[in-house]
Amino acid sequence: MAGRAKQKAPPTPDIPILEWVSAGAGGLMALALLALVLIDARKEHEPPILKIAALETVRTAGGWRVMFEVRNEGGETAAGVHVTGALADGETANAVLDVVPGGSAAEGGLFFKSDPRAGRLALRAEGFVEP
Amino acid sequence: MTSESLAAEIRYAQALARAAAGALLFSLPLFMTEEMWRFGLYMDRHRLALMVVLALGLITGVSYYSGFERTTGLFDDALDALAAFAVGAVVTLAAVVIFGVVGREMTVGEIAGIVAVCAVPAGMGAVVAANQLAAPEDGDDRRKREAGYFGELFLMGAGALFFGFNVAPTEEMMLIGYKMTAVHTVMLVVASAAALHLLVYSLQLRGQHERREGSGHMATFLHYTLAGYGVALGVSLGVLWFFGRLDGVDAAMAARMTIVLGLPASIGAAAARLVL
Repeated sequence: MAGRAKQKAPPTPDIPILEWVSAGAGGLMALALLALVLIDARKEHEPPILKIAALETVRTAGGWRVMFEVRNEGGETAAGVHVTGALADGETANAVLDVVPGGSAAEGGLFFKSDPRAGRLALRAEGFVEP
Repeated sequence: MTSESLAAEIRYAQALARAAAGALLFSLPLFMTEEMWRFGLYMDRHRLALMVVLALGLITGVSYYSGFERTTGLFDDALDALAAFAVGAVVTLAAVVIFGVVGREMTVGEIAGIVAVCAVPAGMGAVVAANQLAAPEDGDDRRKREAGYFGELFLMGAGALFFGFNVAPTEEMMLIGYKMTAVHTVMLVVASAAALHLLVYSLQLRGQHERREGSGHMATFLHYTLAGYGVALGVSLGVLWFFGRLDGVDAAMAARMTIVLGLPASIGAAAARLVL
């Protein structure tokens, strides 16, 4: 280290080493942030594609709770995602997810009076708006 | 390592600690603002990258005029600006992780976006407040006292951005723009310019400005109030553009939003000498 410092003395010797270190860290962070942000910009920005899956169904005091996950396989963010679950007997339940970012997932839950496991449970993301 | 250089290291470490305190002091309200996280996620990526680059330049400029240690030249200021940005980014990351704003379900690009957008005010807070919190002999405002007219305008712009950034991301800029009629808008312009003028003039009287003898209201108005209000409006327009608030908006609405943001920006511009 000492030998290298002799070879490559900093141009202004009165600058503390800590300043070099923290400035270097800041420069790396700024470059990394810029790189990540710009890579994000180059990604295919396809509108949201929402895939929805039921996670777990649990009996609660007033009925049944079905947890679900909405996965956005598109590149762009979906906001105000309306999720509807319909049972075979015609009972429906709704939930709205504020935001499902592109390439990410968000979870929510639906409540039903009758047992969702009895018949077919149809989960559907009905629509979204751009944030 | 000589004891002298060790003392310099310790002084710099103290300056960094002050910078972290400053980043928190000035940017915590923004870390706790939902719109900032949203912008981190959805803001146009090229604009975000441009904002980070411009912020680094601006922090360098602020470091030149005040900054957290006595600098030897622009290169030293650039190093300090990067250090301030590092402090801002680390403080931001710590805050958003603790708040649960970023989590494992997010992609690296999204987290980078949130950190980048929040690190801009945090980095400015780091370089500004470090000087404010410093003991008089540690800070560096020699150049601020000796700044020429363009230096003054730069400081006004930095002050406008620094103060305006606190409210610029909020939806209220739009809401207030919708609520105001033409009469309200004109009143707000007059009020902003008046507030700017009173602040600049009273700061002059306090001896913060070392101006020529006999520079009265009129000269101050022309040199600093009008120019300062112009700078404040320009900064406001730029910030609104960065945040995508001007996209798909007609010119009248854009003007109203600029004037709304122009009020805090003018007050920041006027108080730049006190704040920066």
